[in-house]
Amino acid sequence: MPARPALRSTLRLRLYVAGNAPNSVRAVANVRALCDEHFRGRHAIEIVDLLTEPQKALADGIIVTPTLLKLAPLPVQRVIGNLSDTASVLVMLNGR
Amino acid sequence: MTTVRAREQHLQLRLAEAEATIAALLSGEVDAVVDERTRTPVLLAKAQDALRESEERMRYVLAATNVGLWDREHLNGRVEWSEVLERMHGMAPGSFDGTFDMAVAAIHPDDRADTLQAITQATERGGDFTVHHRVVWPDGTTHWHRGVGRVVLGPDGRPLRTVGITQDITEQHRLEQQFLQSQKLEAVGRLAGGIAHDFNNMLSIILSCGELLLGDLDERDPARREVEEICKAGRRSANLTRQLLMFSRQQVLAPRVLNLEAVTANMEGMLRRVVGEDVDLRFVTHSSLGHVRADPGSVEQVILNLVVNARDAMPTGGQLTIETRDAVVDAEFSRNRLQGATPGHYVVVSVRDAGIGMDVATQSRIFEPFFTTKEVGKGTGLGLATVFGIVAQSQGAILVESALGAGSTFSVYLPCVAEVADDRANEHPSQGPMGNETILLVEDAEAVRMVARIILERHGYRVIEASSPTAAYEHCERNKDKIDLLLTDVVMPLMSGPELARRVQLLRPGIRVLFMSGYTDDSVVRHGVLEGETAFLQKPFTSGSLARKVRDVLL
Repeated sequence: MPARPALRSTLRLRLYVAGNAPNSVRAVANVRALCDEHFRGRHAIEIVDLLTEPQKALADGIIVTPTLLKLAPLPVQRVIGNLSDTASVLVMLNGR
Repeated sequence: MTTVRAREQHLQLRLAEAEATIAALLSGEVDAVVDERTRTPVLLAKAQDALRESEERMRYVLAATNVGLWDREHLNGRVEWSEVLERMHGMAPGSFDGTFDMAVAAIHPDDRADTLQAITQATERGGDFTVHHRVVWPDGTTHWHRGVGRVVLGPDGRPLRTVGITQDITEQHRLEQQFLQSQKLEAVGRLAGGIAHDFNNMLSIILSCGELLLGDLDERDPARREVEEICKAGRRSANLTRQLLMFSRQQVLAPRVLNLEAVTANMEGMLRRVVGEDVDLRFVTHSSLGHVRADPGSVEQVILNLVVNARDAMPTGGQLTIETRDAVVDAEFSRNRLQGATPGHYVVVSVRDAGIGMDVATQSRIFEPFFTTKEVGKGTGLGLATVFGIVAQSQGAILVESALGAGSTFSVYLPCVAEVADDRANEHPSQGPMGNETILLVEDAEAVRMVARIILERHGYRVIEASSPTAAYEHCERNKDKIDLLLTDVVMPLMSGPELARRVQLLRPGIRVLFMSGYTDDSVVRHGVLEGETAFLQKPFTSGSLARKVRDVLL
């Protein structure tokens, strides 16, 4: 039985990557697959490349990539790594 | 209270993030990090590649340049050695046990205390240090190492780590020692040679006058004994100065093509008398023995000196072997054992005794003049120095093999030549042959001239005396009398001997020339005497040596 999404409001995510580095590519694929499956039609993902926009990363307090920020709904939360541990990522995205 | 709580929550969050970051880093899920100092991103893969590449490059360079790497962790006492360093200790890769004790044990016992002191001092104060020491390989061979290290101290001033590199400098050390040794011998040689020159003219007069006086004295004259003693002392002194000149490589050699087997065979009778009955003297020769180009008298002197030393090394007798053989010297053997002699074909004369042998310290000094292991009054310390000088001047080399209690072997290597032996060279010179030719004698030292005239006249020659080159030349211009030989000093004011000879030969083509001099250094070389096949008589001369040389030139 597919998991029922706990949230109804739009999920706003920002994923910091480092160009086409392997873990970054994997993280992008993982977060998209996860959102398509669990938050279809009510999520927005912003991909930010640390290599081209370092200032933005610094402003968000990013120290490594890939780092996924959940900006909304609050509280702001972050996951570090290539997001292949989908269960943990889902827990964070559901705000639990 | 709320603020405190909020702060606590914030800190917990930061801590969780830090833990997550570390976990991601450890599991290899991180691509890039932000450099805290420069606030710029650094790609980890690139950094890791660069690190790997740099380490690899370093490893190649260290292996190619034979540089060993070591790293000592002071907190746990562990020491790491690179494979190159293990090889530099004659050990198989991976056999170093990682302890400081094993590293110290490899250091030569004589160098251990000094090396440890240098390391300890550096460890206490931190910073860099350099050590030079020998290491002993498991196979017993000794190698020279140079280590450069750096001690890293912790904030409390205690040493954390010592890292450094080590190079094998055995070859460099050997060359340095060889250079120092040759410089030392060169300096002593110059000094000795300088003194010997000045004695030569005086000894010529003492010896010749003594001999002439003896000839004039009646057989029963009581003064005869004293005069004989004067002559004996003069001959001993002349022998000593000749040895000094030989050592300083300033002896004028008259090289001829020789067969060394024939030389040693000719000496057999004399050598048997020298060594005495207790010594079993054996001659070993091998077929196809090549020829060498050397001064026969000097070669005999070399063999005699080596045999006398061998005899003295066996006070209660024993076996003494003189071996002559051919040898091919390659570059490696030459570099390691033969003072860098030119590789090629050599003829070797070895003198081997079964005597007391020498330790390494003695071996390193044996060629120094006045160095002797014999008791006072038994040896001059010039024997081997003379051997060294003659062999070096003959483009040869000496190999010394010895160990305490195991006897000694001295092998003289002389370059092989393609020419055929000159039979005359192997003959023993006869005593004072007579003649009846006319000799023009040119010598500015009156006493020497007078002595030479008397000797020559007593050997049947007609002598025309000239006290200067100018006088000699004028005589040749004004007179048409037959002159067979020009016997002239080399270094004279206004005109040198060779210059006079050149002019006289223009006036009298076919005249023979014999130079004589107490100087054999640069001044003679400048005058062109040492080069070529010029006949030369070394002062001091005796009645016999002058008569023989004159006869030789007139033949």
